[in-house]
Amino acid sequence: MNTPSSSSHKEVQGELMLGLPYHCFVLLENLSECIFTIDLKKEINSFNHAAETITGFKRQEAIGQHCFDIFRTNICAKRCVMDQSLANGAPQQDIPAFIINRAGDQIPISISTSFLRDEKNNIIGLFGIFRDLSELERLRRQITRTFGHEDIIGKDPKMREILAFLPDIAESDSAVLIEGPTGSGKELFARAIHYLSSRQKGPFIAINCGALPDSLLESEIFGYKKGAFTGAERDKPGRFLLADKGTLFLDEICNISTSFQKDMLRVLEDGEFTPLGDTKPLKTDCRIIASTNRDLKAMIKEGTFREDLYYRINVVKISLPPLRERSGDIPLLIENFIHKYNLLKGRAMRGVTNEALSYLIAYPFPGNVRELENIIEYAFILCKDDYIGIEHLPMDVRDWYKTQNHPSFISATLATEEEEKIRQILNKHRGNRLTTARELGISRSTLWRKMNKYGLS
Amino acid sequence: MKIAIPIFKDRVAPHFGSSSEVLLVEIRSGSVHQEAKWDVGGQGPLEMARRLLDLGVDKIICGGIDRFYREWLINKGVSVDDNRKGKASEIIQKMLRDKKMFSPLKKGGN
Repeated sequence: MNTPSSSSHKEVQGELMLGLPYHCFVLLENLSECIFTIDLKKEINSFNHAAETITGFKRQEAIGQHCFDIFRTNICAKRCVMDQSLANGAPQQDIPAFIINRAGDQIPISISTSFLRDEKNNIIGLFGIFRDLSELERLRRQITRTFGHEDIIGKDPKMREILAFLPDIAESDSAVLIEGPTGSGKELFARAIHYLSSRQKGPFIAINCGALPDSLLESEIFGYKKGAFTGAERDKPGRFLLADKGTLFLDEICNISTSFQKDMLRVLEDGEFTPLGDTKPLKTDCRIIASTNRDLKAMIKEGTFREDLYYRINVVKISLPPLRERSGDIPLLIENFIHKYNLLKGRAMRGVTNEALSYLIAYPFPGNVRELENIIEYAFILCKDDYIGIEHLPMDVRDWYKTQNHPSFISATLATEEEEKIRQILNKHRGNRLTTARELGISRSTLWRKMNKYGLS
Repeated sequence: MKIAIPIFKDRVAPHFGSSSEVLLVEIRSGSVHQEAKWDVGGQGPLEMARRLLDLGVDKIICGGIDRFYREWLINKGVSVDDNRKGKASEIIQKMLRDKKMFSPLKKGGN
């Protein structure tokens, strides 16, 4: 717990918590909720540490400023919580909003307020509490599969370049082809394009073309009429119709047969299709986003993909890099997945050890981001500590690491970590090699060799 | 030079994309040539950014702006001066005095 020094506490107590006793000040200062008070001119007169963290503004910068200039919520200008509290004569509870912090991150929050009164019971201001709902909101989007651009994690230049053009791609309404290896996040990009486009209020319909045989795919995509075949007991609208006024995502289009490619081409050319067992063609107005994990141009050369269909779906092309080509994003992705599983499993995992991180950065991830997420989920099962170590990683990752010649920086990282660990445990046992070797789980002779290697003897 | 300031009453709007009005100012020869207000009409941040781009705006002065839209605007050659607060007219006047508008493109923040 961060406890302010007595000298600083006197200095800030008055402006932080309106002369509250010191223990109240410490309590409020250390809460994870953002707490602040404002006067009737909407000027901030107290601001706790969590408020500094969430907004990115220091207390000294916030005190005396208008609350809307610091919190910058999407409801400040139109549905000010303070105005509503005063108008209704009642505190507000759990009002959802978004703030934009100093760095430009949009953060979902909930706001609750109560009145501050003087000794004569006159209202002199408002006491406000913000709760950061980022993690809950991220989980909600995952459950409802309403991903947006904010769910795309990556600082790698290739990813930033794609992200920078996403609004332009979304605006164009042209067909989009997303290329990328399996698990690289093609559907995430497809959804982000949809939610940035003018069709965002329409449906986003996805179908995995590789998961179904031709006959089933046809009925899924075009739909059928009652009695069209045995078991067709009622009319069923196809995905094309369901995606009307929205976006149809044809995942792994590379897996459809050449004969079905011909049917698809016809629909994509004029937007008309006929459900199975029907005679009347239907028209649909949907945007097509297709994805592939194979090189369609090579498939054209092999004669397994129609060239005309390729040009129909490839108006705008996005090529997603495999995770091994953007290994700089791995720590960021790990952090994100740890947040996610902490929330899902009620844990408080803090991260991965440097050694485990070295293993993960070196690993080629044939299954890309999806594989990394699976690795973290697996580690949550095995790891009962604060940090995921190499012993919590799947055997595939550990075996792969052992068979490779690693770049010198990774070896150096491991060596430094090993040296530090030996030094710490030796200190703990006041130089006793027997108890140190026992705690490290190695023999005394191995410990002696390592101590010589690192100059610790 | 065309400058856009999303406003909240007469102040810089705290949240880009949720303001209902944008002040458009055209500067010529170091002074305000003309001013207009655009009623945003409930458009979201991306639609607003696209519209400002279509209007040929060179610089946006705003409070908080989502990093995603800020980067998109900067990529399109629009200078974004974010994290600003106070009266829009005073910011314009100060800018004219300081001749800040003639400085090279800035990558957000202040």
